Amino acid sequence: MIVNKKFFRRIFLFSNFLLITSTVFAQNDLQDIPDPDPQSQLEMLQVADGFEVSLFAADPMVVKPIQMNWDAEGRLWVVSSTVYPHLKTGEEANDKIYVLEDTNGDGTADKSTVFAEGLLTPTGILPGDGGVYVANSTEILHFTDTDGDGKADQRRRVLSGFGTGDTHHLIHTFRWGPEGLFYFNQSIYIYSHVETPWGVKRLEGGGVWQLRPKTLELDVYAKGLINPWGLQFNRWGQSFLTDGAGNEGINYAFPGATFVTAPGAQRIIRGLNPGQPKHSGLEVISGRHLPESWAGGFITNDFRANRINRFTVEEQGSGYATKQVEDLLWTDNVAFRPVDISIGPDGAIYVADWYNPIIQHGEVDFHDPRRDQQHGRIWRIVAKNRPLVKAPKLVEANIEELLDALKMPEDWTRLQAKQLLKQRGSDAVIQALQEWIGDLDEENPDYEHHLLEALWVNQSLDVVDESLLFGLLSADNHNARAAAVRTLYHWYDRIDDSLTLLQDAATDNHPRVRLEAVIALRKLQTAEAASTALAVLDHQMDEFLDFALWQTIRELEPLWMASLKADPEFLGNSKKTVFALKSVSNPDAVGHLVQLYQKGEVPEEYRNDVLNSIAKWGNTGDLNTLLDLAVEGNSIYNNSRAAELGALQEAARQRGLKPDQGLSRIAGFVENDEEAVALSAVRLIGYWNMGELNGRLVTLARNGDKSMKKAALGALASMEDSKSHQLLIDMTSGNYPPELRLLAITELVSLNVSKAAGLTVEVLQNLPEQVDASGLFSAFLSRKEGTRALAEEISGKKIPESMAMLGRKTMQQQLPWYRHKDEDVILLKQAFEASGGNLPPERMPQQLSDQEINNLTQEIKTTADPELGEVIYRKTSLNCQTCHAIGGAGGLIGPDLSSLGTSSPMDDIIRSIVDPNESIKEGYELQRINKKDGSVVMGYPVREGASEVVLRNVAGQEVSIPKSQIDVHENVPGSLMPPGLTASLDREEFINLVGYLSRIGESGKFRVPNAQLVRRWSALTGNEELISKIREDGIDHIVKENTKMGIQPAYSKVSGDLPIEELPIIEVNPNQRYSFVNFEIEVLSTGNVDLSFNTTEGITAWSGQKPLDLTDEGTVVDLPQGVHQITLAIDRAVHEEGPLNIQIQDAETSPAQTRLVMGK
Amino acid sequence: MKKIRVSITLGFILLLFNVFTNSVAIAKSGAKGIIEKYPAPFELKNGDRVVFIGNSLFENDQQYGYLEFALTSRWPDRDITFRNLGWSGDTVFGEARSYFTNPPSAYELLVEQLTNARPTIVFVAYGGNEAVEGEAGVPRFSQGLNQLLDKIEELGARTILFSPIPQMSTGNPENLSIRNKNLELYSSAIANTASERDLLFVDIFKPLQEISKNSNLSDEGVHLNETGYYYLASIMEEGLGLSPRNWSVNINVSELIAEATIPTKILNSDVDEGHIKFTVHDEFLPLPLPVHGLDRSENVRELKIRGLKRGYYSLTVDGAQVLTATAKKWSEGVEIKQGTPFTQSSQLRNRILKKNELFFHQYRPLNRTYIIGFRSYEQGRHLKGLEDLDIIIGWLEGQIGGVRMPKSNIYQLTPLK
Repeated sequence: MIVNKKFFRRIFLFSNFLLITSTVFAQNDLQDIPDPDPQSQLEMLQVADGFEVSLFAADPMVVKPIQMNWDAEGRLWVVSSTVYPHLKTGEEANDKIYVLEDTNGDGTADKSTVFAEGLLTPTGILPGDGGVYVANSTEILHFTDTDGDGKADQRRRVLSGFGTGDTHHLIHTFRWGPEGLFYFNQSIYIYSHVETPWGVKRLEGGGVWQLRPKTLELDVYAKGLINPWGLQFNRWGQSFLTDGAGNEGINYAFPGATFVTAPGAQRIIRGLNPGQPKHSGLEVISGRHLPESWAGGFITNDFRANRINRFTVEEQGSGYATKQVEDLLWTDNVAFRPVDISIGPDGAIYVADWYNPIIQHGEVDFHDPRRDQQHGRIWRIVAKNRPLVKAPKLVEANIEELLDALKMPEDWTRLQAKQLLKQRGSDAVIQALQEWIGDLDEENPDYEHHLLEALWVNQSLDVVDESLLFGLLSADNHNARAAAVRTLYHWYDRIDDSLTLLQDAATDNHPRVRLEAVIALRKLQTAEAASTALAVLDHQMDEFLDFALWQTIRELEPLWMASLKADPEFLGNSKKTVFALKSVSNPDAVGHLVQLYQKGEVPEEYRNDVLNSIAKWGNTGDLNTLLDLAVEGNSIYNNSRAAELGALQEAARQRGLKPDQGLSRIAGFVENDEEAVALSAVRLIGYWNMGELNGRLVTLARNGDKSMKKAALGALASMEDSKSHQLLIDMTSGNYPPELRLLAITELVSLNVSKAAGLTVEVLQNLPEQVDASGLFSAFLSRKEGTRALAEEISGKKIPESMAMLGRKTMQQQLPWYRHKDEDVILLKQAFEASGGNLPPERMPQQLSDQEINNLTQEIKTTADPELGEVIYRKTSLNCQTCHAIGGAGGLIGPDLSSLGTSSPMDDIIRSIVDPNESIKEGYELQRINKKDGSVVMGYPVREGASEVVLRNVAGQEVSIPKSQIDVHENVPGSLMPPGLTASLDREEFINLVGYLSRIGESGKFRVPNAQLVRRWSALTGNEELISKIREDGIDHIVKENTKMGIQPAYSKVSGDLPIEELPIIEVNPNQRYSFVNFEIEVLSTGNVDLSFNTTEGITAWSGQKPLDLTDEGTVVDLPQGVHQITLAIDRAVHEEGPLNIQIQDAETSPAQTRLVMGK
Repeated sequence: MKKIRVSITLGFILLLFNVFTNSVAIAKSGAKGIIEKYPAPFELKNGDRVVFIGNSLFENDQQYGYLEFALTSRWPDRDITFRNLGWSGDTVFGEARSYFTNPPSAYELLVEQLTNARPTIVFVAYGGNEAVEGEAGVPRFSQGLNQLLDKIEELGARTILFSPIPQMSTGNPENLSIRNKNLELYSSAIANTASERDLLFVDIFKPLQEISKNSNLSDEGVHLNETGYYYLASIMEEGLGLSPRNWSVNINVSELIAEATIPTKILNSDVDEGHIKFTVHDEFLPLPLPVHGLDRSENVRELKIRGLKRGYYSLTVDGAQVLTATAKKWSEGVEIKQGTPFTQSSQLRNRILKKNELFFHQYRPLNRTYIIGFRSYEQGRHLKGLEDLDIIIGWLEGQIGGVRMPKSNIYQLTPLK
């Protein structure tokens, strides 16, 4: 709709004055802005050996590029937004589509055309179907140029209803799949509801859409991820994703794949590279120009750290293993923001540089003047001394030539040829295609790939070729077979006997073919499809197969469940039956599971899942059976009693359900040797409300160790009779030791908060200093009325200063920031402070004005010593590493900081340290659950199942909350990071700390190296018992089973070095002083693991309990699949200080595929 | 040459009423709320706030503006304001308004948006998406619809119910017929609810299905295109019992008699020279014509001038050339599709569209997460920017008021020499 221009000018004159009144910007330090001259930027770009980078196009030929894609003529289409991140009030959006052409083939664009304009924050672009598809906020448009003047003259709305809650999450990453389907992504805050001729399609949160443009059949291909800004298909049609905010590197995707953050997901699959940087864009390397050894690998942009990463890839079971190798390009120019990457028709690599010193979306003001809104570049990277590809002239080509183009090694050529063949139509193509297939050379090593391309041409044209499909289903190459099964997934209802074909595929000798079969079977919607899919359990399973099978079984649940009722053998052997039954959220399944469990037919690897299902869905009869088994002991399952009682405990906790026969038998276990059994038994007495046993509980509370005391008191509190409650209250009296009284009051809080508060003051007044009262304070703080009750009791009374300080500190650490201004919280603070409970005076002020932050920034730039800063960061008293990881090693509560310095301006870093609530990263949305019992749980979402929500709390633990107990579940603003963490630092330390943080990610020693380095360790802290055992047995003792030893986490520095001087020393005798550390390595496929040490002098090493032979360089050890622990003893006489550095390298012969265990 | 000045004012000789009673259902029984019965025909009053709530049927009208145009131009002397809250994929439970942040739940947000719009009249168009559920879903749909209608009643507003629109194509015809059967089912469910609650119900399903046999009302089969919305506006007007927009002016040059359905005044006429000049005073502006034209006669403005000598005659409206036809054609009647009334209509429509675009950005803002959502502590300051849109929207509503009143237009016929 064209609207009168003059009229608008009047509107905008009018609205301009509004802007002046309505925008308040933080005028921050602008000195970091690099020179926008492309030449000076080029000089700062560093590129891998053997490569060369040059400018392809720059502003004003193209500005603010977001996505780019090539057309069949070799023109580069770029979508651009200058109103991003946010339209100003009254501003008219006029975002553009640019078409860049290198007409003389010199590697530089010499022509730029604005194809369409008047767009609002367009974020995706894809030439095709005679025009170009464009993501335009809530809609997908298709523009065409019907008169050939190079500019769009028709505009069609293809689909609409895509969410707009966040402009950096809008639908994006448009791609053609190899089979002619149109794929695109959306990110976490986008909730889309799209009306199509086939009904409304909904996708809430991140994910990948799949569209057949001709019929508008729209499906959700994959779900989840935070900012899935990269999507690409490999030569065989398998798909991969990258994430701009998750940090698991390359993600392997397939239909139904569900990743982190997908709303309501009960189960997710992980990325292939936990702890890797966050990425935008993704390209699979193909073609003759780039080195042969790179083929099939990935290149993707670490836009935060201003570099381009490369990954190699190997097949791993049904999926892949990817490994980061040396960077393709890196720079210290902070405005270099590579957001998209693509191999061009000439085989060179093209990089869209969004060019912006600011990349934060919400954290920095939308209209912050430092945001660049006028520049942009496309860079071109070529391999030196290697010829470029001469791109075929596809648009003028005839059908035979287009078909021959399908044999080309360049993905670009094959993709564009298929697009053009689709455009020519099936009438013109199919006959020629048949002839082309007939003429193919069967001896050609790529013969089966050529056939696959032909199959994909059929799919693009929507023509079913059965014989071609059948041929490929029995191809020699497993990749071809897997791709053919994917085609069958789309054609399942157009092929006569899909089930038989899929039966074969489900027992294929390659796991990826089996994976595709499991996925395709869910389309059939029959019970037989489910039993067929379960056949994969007869072969080796892996995480992708297990996930896909679980999903298929769930989707087909009502069908096979009906058949299973009629025939208990319907699904095959008991392993298959158990797998199916444990996969669903259905009480009916539990009856079967209990029977199988009773008969001892549950394989060990499924035992926990089965008990979990019984806990969640079992009825009273099922629980009776389980109790019988637990009591009688079970010869079939060893050591299962604790798990069985645990399941009964969960049933009671989550659903208030208990067995109804012979409950008293539980009393026999309260003094069981196995601690877990004893504790479960005690808790069950409480859950089952067995008042007659309350005397036993009192005895246990008085005589047991601390965990038994807690369990027994907790059991008394959870009983319903007043007598038991009275027994609990009795134990709060002065007749009992202070420690017991304290624990009793802590339990009383949930029962009678005002009474508990009343008792607290007196107990605190008499508590010996070494008894830790923080648990009691936590109990009050975890419920709304608790804070007030405690405040009212303490006000006007005197408690010991140490207790008041502890209370004040607990408040600081435990209460989320938005509670700090509540009346009850202020009251309690005042009460503690009146007793001297002041927080230690701030050495470093935590309330900073903009001016002060500005001054600090200047000082940090000139005086900070980042190396000293790293030491401060690593201090345990600051707790940084408890919550944050670097390179994947460290706590998982807060964001990984691997590229903090290159993604956040210094002033933002300062602000987020002193006020952590100021900026929150996606995926770290704080959730609050108010439980029906009045308690509150805060944490970050882990997953959500049908019956429970799992959050990660401030301690980094996963807490599961039954949905039945949830009153309100909401996202709340703020962070779990307590403010004021740096108050104890002096100014110089603070400056060094920020100096360090703002360097992380820059090239040099503060960038996480791409090599696979051990970063997460456990260090032994030791105890007297351990030392005496070592004296007796020698240092071998530490790898023996059941050795009791204290451990603490240790992390390598950013560079990968573990500073030996920071490790605890265990002094066996004055001449024998050791540090012991271990780390874990997950072996995905059996083989040799090459551990390369920077030093082996004075070091003894074990893999599990087996000693390792160390040479000067390290060791090569043959390890089977599974997680292995490598332990090192470091002789501190040899290594008083210095770095320890261990790198995992590819072994020369039969290398294993490995993954280091990361996290806290 | 002697000029004869005869001034004939003929006012309304004939007013064509063409009320399709079958598409208006005003039920008599089961009056529930305090809402008074609708006077027939439907009428909007000065100060009314009309709110459209539903799925894409309403949301997509923001591209064309026909529904709002029809109601705005119908009472040009009255200040009536409109808020379009249609949302693609929506249901009576507000499902499409779901979001990362909860609360408010999707339905709570629907209610909040409805309440904030302060409606006096609410047009409700749901059922199109719910219909996928088929017969089994009808009870739940009716329950949800009634819950929403209770809410509207609570807000003190009147409700007009629309049926869903038919689906016009899909990949396979089998699917299409099932789909339309279901849509009709939901259409009757809405009609029943209307009848139970004594509400005005407009069946747009059948008329659109009828027109779609010969006209292309949709580009992809499920959503109306510009032509579709043009017809929808007319169907709505019929359904509301409003008079059609067509007029005819019939002048015999020699007899100097004008028969017209609207006020027409002959200013001068010269039989020998073939001149005639007269004014036509539109009661309301014509609906702007869709870019691709119309395949059937609708809202025709017909000018019939008899008594002309042979030859070609050109018509100007307010001095601007509109069309040329032979005397024979003129005597048979010519449809007027251009001229100042149409220019004014398109001006009015543009202002409506611009106003609606700004309102869309205000109530469904880009970056909602950071401005009003749970991360508003980061960018909440931009809420002011959203609120400031009220000023521009209000100003635009003033601009709409300034252009919606039809004028008296001078039509002049002169022979082509």
